[in-house]
Amino acid sequence: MREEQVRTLVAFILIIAILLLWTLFSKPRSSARAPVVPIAKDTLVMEKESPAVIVNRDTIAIDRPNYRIVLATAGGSVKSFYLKRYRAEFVPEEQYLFVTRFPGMDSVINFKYNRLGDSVIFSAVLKGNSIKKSYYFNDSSGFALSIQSDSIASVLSLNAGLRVTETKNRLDDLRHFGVYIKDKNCVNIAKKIKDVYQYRGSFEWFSMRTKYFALIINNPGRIESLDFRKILPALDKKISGIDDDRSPVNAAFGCGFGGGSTVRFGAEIPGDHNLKINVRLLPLRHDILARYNQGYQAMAELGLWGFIARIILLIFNFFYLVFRNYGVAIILFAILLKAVFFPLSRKMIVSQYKMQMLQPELKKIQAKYKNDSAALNQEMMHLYKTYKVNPFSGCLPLLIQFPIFMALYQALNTSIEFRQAHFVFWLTDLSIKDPFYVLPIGMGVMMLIQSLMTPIDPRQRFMVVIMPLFMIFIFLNLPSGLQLYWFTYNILTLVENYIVKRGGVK
Amino acid sequence: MRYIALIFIKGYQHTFGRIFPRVCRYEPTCSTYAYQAITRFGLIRGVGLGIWRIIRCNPLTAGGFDPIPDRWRDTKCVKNR
Repeated sequence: MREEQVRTLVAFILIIAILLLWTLFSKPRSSARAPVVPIAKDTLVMEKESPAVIVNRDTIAIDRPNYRIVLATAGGSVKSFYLKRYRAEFVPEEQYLFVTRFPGMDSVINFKYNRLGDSVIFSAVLKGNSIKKSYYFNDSSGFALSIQSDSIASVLSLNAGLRVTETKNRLDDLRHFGVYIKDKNCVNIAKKIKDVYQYRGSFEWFSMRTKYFALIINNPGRIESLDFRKILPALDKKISGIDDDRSPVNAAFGCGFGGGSTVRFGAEIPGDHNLKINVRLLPLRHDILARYNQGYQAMAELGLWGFIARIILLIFNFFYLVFRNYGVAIILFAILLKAVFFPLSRKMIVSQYKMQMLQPELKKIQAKYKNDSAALNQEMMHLYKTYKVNPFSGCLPLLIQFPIFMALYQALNTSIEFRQAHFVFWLTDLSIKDPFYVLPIGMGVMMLIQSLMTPIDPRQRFMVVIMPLFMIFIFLNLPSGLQLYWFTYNILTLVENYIVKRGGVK
Repeated sequence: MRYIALIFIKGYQHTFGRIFPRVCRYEPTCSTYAYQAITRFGLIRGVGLGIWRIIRCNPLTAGGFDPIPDRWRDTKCVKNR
């Protein structure tokens, strides 16, 4: 018995070690690395580490039903891009996006502006040549931008990158930052951006994403070159005020298990005389992205078990339509799943009950084959067969739970639906962990009660205490939506036990 | 390949198999069954047998003593049982 317990403990430590090692190795090293790399001559824009200093702050505010944009005359840039529905700002503090710069010039020039209905037209004269930059706010989710000039080549810079919108869980948001390019296929090129990555070739659109949103730049003007860069953490800290400790261990426990880099990316469209792009800022919701028929939805795929996750989300959204609360939707989903599996679990509870009556017989066998566990197992199986009971639910039900759990994890962990989704009392955001750990600990307690209620093999008594602790440890930092689901599921298991036993078991 | 599969099964048995309470309705358990099936019949047939066993291992079947067949052609009898 003693030895058995020691081995179980070792197994536990092994699993935890594997999980930890996995997170450590799947995390790219971030801060300690050489800041500057050799840069090709033709990418003048890359010579500067930080975006050019912008002095003048004349601004033009554009208010539309879905968003609010503030333009700045300096560089004819976007100073603020705010989505009203999601209460999210995307331009980093003190930074500017869509800045027009001129190769070889250190600072950014000030444009004159002219506002005409839905459009703002910036114009400037540089060394006797004129340049015109026009914004058209004709789209419900963004704008069209064109630059026209006879002879000056300019660079359109998004080097500031996108802002971290999830202030309560910055690291988790950062882990999802990436860059996609859609040519024939939609590819996430974040891994290719070592420091600088120059893309040459045609593309339909490219996008910069955060955890929940994507800034998509469509390419009707057939641009064929893009320069991406990694915003180094040291620099990032300075310019964007992101000051989290980015050590791997912190990242692992701060946002659940799993690696992922925690850097932001910048992009530039290097110079030409004319340029035409359409910009959209969209939430990463599969149904919304699919509406545009541009293949945007490839960015919202939910991993290996994506199709199950999508079905689960459909059910959640259906419940949401009725009850207007995602917390309620999660609880109803747990009830639904329990109801579907009820016939199976009823069978299980009944057989567990029968097992209790077989206890005396079992004790006899256990005494007889004390030192031969293989023979004991075999003998026990014979006993179960003669009395037509089987205390085990089987491997299939356990294995089927795995894809469902993974899909649920994907759905709850990364779907924008749960972002800032209020439930009750202290649970104000189902996409982040329970701040007071009530749900995971409650869940552990529930598991303990449940296993104390069911008769078990004395060889596994040790597990009864360890298992809930292990589960609490795993669940501690997962999104509270997921915690809520398991919490409810465990309560329902207890209820189910009660109902079946009260219903009478022969 | 075969050895990778076998090591994988052993790895499972020594970690998760130890931690989670027993669920398998059969003797030998599904993992042991798959292990023996792979050693006896090779990777493809072994894995096939293992998957078939896992599918059978649910509350709707009786469970019980179910060793792997001695010869490949005996496997049909197992399915009929």
